[in-house]
Amino acid sequence: MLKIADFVILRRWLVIVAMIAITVFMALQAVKVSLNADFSTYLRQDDPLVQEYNRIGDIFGGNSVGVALLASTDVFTPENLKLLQELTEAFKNVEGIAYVTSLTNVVDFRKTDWGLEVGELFDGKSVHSPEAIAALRDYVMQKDRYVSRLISADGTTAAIVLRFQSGSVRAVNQFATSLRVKAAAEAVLAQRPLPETTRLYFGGMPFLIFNMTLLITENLTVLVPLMVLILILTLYLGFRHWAGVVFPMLVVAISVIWVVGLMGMTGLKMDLLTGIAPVILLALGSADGIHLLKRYFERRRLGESAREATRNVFKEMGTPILLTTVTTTVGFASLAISDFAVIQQFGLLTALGIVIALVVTLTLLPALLSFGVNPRPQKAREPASLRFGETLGRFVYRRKMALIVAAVAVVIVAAFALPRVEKDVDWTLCLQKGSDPFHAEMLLREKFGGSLPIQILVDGDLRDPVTLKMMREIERRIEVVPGVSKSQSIASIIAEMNEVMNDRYTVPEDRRGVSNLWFLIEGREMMEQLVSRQETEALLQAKLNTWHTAFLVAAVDSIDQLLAPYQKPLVAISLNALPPQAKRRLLAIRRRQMITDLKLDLRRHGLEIPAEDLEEVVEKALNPGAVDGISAKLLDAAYAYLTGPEAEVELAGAAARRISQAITRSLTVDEIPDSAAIRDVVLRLAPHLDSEDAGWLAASLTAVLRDRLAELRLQPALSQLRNLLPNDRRKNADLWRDVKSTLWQANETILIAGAGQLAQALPDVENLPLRKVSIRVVQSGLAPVLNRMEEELTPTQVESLVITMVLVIILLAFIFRSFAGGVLAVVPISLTILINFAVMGYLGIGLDSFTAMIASVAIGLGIDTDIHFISRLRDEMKKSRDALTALQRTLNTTGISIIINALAVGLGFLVLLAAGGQHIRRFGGLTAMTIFVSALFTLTVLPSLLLWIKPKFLQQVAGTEVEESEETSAGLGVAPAKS
Amino acid sequence: MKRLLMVQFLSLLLGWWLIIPAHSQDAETILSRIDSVLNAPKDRVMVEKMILIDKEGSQKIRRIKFYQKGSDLRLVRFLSPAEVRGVSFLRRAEDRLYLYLPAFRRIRRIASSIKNERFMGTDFTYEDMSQSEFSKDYFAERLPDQDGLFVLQLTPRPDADVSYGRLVVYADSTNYVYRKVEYYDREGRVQKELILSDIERVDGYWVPKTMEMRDLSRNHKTLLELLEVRFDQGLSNKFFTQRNLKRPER
Repeated sequence: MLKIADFVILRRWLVIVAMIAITVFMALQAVKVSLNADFSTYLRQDDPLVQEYNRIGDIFGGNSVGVALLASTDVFTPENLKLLQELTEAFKNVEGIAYVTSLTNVVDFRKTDWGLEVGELFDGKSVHSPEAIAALRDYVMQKDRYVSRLISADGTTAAIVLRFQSGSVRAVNQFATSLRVKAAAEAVLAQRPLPETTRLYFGGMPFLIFNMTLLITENLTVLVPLMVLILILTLYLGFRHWAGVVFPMLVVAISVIWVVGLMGMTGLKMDLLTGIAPVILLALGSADGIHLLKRYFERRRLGESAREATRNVFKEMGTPILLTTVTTTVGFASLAISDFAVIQQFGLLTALGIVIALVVTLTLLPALLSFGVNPRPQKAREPASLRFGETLGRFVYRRKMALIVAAVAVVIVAAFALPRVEKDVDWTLCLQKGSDPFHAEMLLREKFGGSLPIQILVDGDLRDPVTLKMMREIERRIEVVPGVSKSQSIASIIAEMNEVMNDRYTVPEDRRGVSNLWFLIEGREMMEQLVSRQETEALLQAKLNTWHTAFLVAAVDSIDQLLAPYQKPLVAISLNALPPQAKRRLLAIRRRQMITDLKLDLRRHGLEIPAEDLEEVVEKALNPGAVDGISAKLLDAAYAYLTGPEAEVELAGAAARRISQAITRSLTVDEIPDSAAIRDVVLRLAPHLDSEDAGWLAASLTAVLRDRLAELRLQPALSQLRNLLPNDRRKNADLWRDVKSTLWQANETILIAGAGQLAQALPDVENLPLRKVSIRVVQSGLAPVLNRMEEELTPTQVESLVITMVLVIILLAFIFRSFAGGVLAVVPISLTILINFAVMGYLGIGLDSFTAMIASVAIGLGIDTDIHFISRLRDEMKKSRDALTALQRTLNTTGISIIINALAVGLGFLVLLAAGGQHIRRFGGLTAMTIFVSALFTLTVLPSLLLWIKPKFLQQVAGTEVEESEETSAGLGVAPAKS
Repeated sequence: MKRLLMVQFLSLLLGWWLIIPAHSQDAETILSRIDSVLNAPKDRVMVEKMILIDKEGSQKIRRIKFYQKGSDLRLVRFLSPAEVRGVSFLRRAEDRLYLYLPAFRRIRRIASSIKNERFMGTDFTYEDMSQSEFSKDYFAERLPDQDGLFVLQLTPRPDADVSYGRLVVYADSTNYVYRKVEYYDREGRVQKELILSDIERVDGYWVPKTMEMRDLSRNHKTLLELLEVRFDQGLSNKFFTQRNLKRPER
């Protein structure tokens, strides 16, 4: 160390010039650093989950969803609707936005007098008149697909859903895209100002990150200078000398510039976590400088020349400084084990910054100090600092056992709080309460079922009704998971079209039915977001009403559990092709399925009906018994068809009446009309028809009658269920739609069940005409990615802490040549970390990527102080046999440095309490607390333990050094104490 | 003699009319000739291969059978793939469009409000599918000829129920067969273009063997390749009814 100091002092101009040149170069590189606000990149890109997330982004045009919200007293005014339309159009042209959906361009399935109509819901030209607007409102508000997706249930907020391009191929900078979206909105608003009561907000993940990034940038630009100011002030008050301010700050400034410069050179991007690295370096980088300078002044006061003092200081302190750097670096570098790319980067860059700070401390500082910095002349009277050291030293010396007992008590109290620390991040806390982005998230949560997309990837034959029916089942099941709502997929789109066309919200049973409906929406943008180009993969989406990670983890786990049965082989079997006994057994499976589904339907709508009542309803659906007036109703249906324009042949009214009567006379609720029999009736009563025409007519008539009969069969069950529902829910269209679709299973002829379940019901199942269906269902999207981040966070932190602690103990044990020394040195830090987590537990502060960093900072800073303290104490013990004197001297020298350092850095972190984002406030407050607590423990608990245990490495008698000790004592004005 | 003179006079008149240089014809005249060439056969039956090509280049292939009588009556049936076989479209008049979905044995009428919707995933809208006479819906204005083609700009008549802002039609100045149509929206942006190529004379009528409709904003196109064509088959009006729509292709 001395050689380095000599080398530097000899070539001090070279060192200074080189340092300036490198710093200027690095500053130029630093401006190249750009921001990375894309969450998915925060995990390692080779993670299969991230790869799947990116793949989905590529297939479906993006998987990150932002929302522009137009909030007003009523969205349904000509001005607001026009604005909605113009914003929608404007966003479509924004680079980086794959799809835009709002009320003004959403695909609508409308029932008209002419049947199912597929078109865009909103035609800007036709919504000026109050009548047209009222009609539009009435229509929109009864559509489940729009309410809470594109319009709030109270009609006050409209959403424009923006799908951001993402994925590995089409990844775009979401921050830049968010900026462009906002610019596009501003361009529209410049032409068409917002109506007085209307506000425009932006929410959802991309905007959340956008706003968090802005807020962090704001914090860095406003609060960091303030932190620096406080650091400067405290340093000045501590040293009362310009050098006490300039030198530590120089070390920090240069290391920050170098680190950011190296990021610029290597193309690394600044992210949300790396953004706080400069703040950490501010705290860690200044410590060694403070200790060093303090010792330098001590030496100078003893009359040493600048050169001598510099040499001696580096001789004495080189090793502790090197040691503190190694331990702190290990602490941060150990974060590299994380699967979190963002934590890895943060850990490694901070570690690099600390090493750079060491390099600067060991080169620039001796070079500058060798020019001679004169300490402030010692005042005649004893300074307060000396009285402090003596008083505190005496207190610790006398009350060491009490202090140890107090520390044990603290440990016990803290231990109780540890289980209360939740691994929970509420990402919205990153936003400033009351700000527009915060309001947007709250609006999304309260009125739109949240903004976090749940995505389930379904792999299979998508035109197969079995696949689609399974998707519908999954949709219905996941909506029972707390916080999950508004599921949507190609299956629900097909079901909705079927409902408009055939009055039942179900997937048609045959492939042609699916294909016919599919045909009507083929090629639409909506389809690109739901189905892959090759039609082999579909995305099932829902919304999660939270950004609380604990809640999110629970939801992701529940969904995974729900999906588990679909991973097993499924079979579809046609009931009509079975012998009666087998059919009966399978109907028992259907009965159970229907009861479960009905329960889920009711639970989704917040209703609970006793199981035996539901069993009765299901029984009624499967075996309706007699239905009032069935013949008359079927007769009407047949006659209406035969005399309508769609009938394949034109029949006179009388002939149509006769045929209708003949066909329906003998029908019962269980008898399915047969096409061949109907054709015979038609030919008998209208002999002029040719047989082929009669055949076509009969086939259509059979379909009409089957359909009508199926409807009629459900009436008794539906009536019974209606009587079980509370009065105010009997007319709820959504509830009715759901229960009817469940009961409709009674009319279906295909049964889908797990292969195992079927084998149990029918031992000879292999001989039956069944069809095996393979689908693959995987939860994907952002939710599992965030879930993974959560899973990674705590183990990483714990591992990192353990690794650091072990390494630190080994290092210290090696340096002090004492295992006890190593262990004792980490006691204050361990206590500090424990208190930090205890406070988090008691205050309900969740463990997130920011609060998790605090332990690393605590170790980094705490080890510094402890090593400096122990080193000094050991030196002092060498010089004086008297433990109290040694302690008092240590407290008066290193102790003061520790206090100056803790005050400077701790007060600096307290500035973050004024930050916009709540998470930064918490981070600032907790870090400041740990810094103060750590210093307190180092100055009280650590000496108490050392004095109590009296480890060997402190008990060396050094008679030859008495002289120096006296010198030192004289310089410090502390008289050897009488023991 | 008088009759001979009359014939000579008429021949002269006809000859004079025939030798009128193309560029001196007014836009409306050219447009009505384009329409009359388009609708010259009494009826036609065509089998076409329909290829849908998306922006990634992936293709979907279908076969359709197209019936037309006069300028009003049209019926389109999908022949393949099997899943959509039988899906049929009927045009009885400009505002009477029907679609038949065989899986449900239901005919639905297409409301005029959704005429600008795409027809079955193609780049043709229902309006394009039902368009038969430009001159009914548009005023024509002549633009400078290009490469031997008439260029007409068509703007909608005040009472026309069309969704385009304007069309630009390029037609062969020798046979009045149109070669290309550009479709503009009401904001003046070009949305789509239709290109007709491999034009041949079959049974005395001009027929394009290939039609390509490109949606420029979606970067998607629909290619129609003519596989068979027959003219003047004596199709009756009854063929173009809802009843017949439901009957399968024999």
